[in-house]
Amino acid sequence: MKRIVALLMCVALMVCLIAGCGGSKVKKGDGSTFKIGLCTNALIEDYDTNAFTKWIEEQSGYNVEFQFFSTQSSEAKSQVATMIAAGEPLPDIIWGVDFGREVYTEYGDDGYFLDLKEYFDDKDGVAKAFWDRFDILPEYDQEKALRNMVNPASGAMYVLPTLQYSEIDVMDYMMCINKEWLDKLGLSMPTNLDELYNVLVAFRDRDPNGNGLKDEIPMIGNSGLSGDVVNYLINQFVYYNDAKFFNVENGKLTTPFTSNEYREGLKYANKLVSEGLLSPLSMTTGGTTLRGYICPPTDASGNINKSDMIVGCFFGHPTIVVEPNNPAAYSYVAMNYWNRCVINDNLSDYQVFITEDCENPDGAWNFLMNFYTEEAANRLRYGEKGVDWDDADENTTSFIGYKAQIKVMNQVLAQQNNSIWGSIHGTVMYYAENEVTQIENVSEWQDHLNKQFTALHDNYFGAAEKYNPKELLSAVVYTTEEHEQYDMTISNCKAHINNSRTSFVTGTLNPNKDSDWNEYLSKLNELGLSTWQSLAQKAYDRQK
Amino acid sequence: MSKKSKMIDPDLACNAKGYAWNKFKQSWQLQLMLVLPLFYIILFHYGPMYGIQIAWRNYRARDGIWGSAWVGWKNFQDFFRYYKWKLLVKNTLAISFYQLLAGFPIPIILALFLHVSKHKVLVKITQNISYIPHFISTVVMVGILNQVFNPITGFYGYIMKFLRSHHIVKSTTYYDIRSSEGAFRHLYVWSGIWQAMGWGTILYIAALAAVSPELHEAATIDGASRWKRVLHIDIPTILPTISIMFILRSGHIMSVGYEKVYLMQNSLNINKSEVISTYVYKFGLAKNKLSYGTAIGLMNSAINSVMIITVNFIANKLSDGEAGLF
Repeated sequence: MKRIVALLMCVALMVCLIAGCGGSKVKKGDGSTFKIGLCTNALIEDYDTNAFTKWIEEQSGYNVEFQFFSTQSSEAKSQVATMIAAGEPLPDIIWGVDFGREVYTEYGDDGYFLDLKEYFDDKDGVAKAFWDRFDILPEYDQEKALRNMVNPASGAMYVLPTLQYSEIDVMDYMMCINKEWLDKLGLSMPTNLDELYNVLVAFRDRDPNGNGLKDEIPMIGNSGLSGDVVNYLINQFVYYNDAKFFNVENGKLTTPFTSNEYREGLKYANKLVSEGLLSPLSMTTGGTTLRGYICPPTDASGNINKSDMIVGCFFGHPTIVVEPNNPAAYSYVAMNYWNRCVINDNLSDYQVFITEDCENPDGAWNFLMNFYTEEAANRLRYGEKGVDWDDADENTTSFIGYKAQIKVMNQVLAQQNNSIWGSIHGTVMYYAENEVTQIENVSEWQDHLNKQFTALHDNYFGAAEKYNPKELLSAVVYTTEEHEQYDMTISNCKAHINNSRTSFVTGTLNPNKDSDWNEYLSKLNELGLSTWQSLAQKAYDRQK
Repeated sequence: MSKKSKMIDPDLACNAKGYAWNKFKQSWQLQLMLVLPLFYIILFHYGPMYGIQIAWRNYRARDGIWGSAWVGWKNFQDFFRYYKWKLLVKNTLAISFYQLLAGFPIPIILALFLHVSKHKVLVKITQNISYIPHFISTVVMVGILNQVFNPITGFYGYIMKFLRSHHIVKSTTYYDIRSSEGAFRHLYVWSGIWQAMGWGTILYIAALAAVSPELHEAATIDGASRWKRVLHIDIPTILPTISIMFILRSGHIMSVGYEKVYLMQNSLNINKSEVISTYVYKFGLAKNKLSYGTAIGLMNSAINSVMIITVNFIANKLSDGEAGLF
């Protein structure tokens, strides 16, 4: 009996192995040729002799031909529209043209783009490479991607997604504080909102830069990456992701932007602005302009005059808002998070299609499956393996302390090159560059920045884990009909919420006055908040 | 002089049709030169006009312009469903009228100054310097504005810093002109005037050059001062040019170019800086609603046409048919 069981197990194991082996590898191509339409990138020398082109041809066993669209995605979009209007044949594959959901759904419904649902459904067969790669994403991102990939009206799937995951890019606010000023004034690092307020008042009144002038900016954010200081303040009171608007509780969508907690957040932000603690420049200054405020100009020997420093605490991505090698950076250290931390969406896009003019869609699908491997993702992003990048050395780490996966020898992205296609589409990228790249020969300046970066990252996700609601809204996707009918209502509501938020913070409207607040709410109802909310609820429930 | 040249040859006057034909035959080489521009206008301006119909359709690429479904006035009504449409119209008109009233006389005044000045080298230098801003592209122009008016690192910021450090200015907050609602229109219009005034003088200088020196000589003998001669000789001579330019400008009353406004927009001045064209860009083109964008554009053009006809009518009335464009 035991023998039979053992034998059976052996057979089962072998079957598994063979199946696993056969399934994980994409079938080799038959040498047929596919025409790919893509947005060109001016930095790429020649797509035909490109290192990635050569690699993907060899890897997949298919040949590639190109049809070039404009370098501008919007221009490429109208080029395809013109081709369709004129009845010209489309390339077999369209790779990386940002049509937007409404347009590509229309093209799909009209039959220009193929419905790939059959392929996607064959999870252990032709789509295995995709789903294997998909599995490495966190559950939240998977849910969001699935909602976006499927046409909610018909269940059709027209698009091969590009899914990127990074823990740096999703941080809504990174904040650093001037440690030197704190020490000089004998203050300790703030650990809650009241202490933060006291610190800001001290920065404003006690002349921390010592030039005898009240020229300090106690707190400033920026309108770019990780700089949303107003959203930070609102999230001290209620979880609010300003890209999603709704929250979700037990499967029901709620409206944080009408809550009393939200109003408290606005009151607090309004107080900071009116007392001169938070600069209204936060809402209009871009990341690189903020550099000039944080870092005073250096003299010939690279030093700065410390009395020229005016910023107490800033919000923004440290590598963007701090000028490289400016000594001002040493004064700033990462601040703590002690409340909710908004997780933004990753940079994913939905831009790869197989068209109706493709004569061999099975082959095209098979060809595109070759993009869903780690190596393909790395080659698309970092260039040729062994030349531009390679596997990381043993036991090395990246900026934020993760195990390094690659070492970059030659930066190709945003440089003139012939090793990548210039943009990343139809693949799954896991982690942003500084999360996987091995670090070596770091300057003192860079080391300081990396330490703050690591601290910001660790605190952020620690706080998010502890204070964020357990259920987060992934995506709400409307059907074409819903979109056509209600787009005006939805965009009216969104514009009203965002404009009013700015007005409440800068003092055009007063959040402390009941009349202003009630007018905001009644206008919102008048514009159709309830229609929007029930529509979003319907859309959310549809794709459970 | 002009009356004489318009006198009709008695041999040809008997037959108006024959007259026109003969006139044409006489100058056929000149008429031939019209063919190319005519062709251009028909091909690129009249030809595509059939596309206007998508304003009443729901345009879809599969169905094409002729095949898309008719939706009646929906696209037009949609504009009035935008909750801030009144603000859009108000902002557009405010900027447009401000631009017209402030910007229109300045090139004329400058041209008169240049014409009057006796120092010819100075005139040439002034002309060249005032032309240069015309060649700056909008993007660079707005970049310059942003730099100059930056309250911390800009030229304005340095002046404020200087004033603050000498205790001339007490205020400690960094006031940002670029994001002030109240300043937006002034900034927009006056930067535009700075950029366009030199270039705008060209036409008037050319018109002023046509003033007959005899008139000036006669007036000088009669004891007219330079100021009186400007008032009674120069201005009346260029008045038809001014009137034509004004009529043409009034045809743009509903169109404020979107690039510059869009670039100068930010979340703090949006209540004054959102105009029809930026809205069309954001909601029509960027969201691929071509029918909607067309409908609003058509509406603008209709209002502009009405404006141009009205102003032309008034100009004709006031000048007994002399100053009108048509």
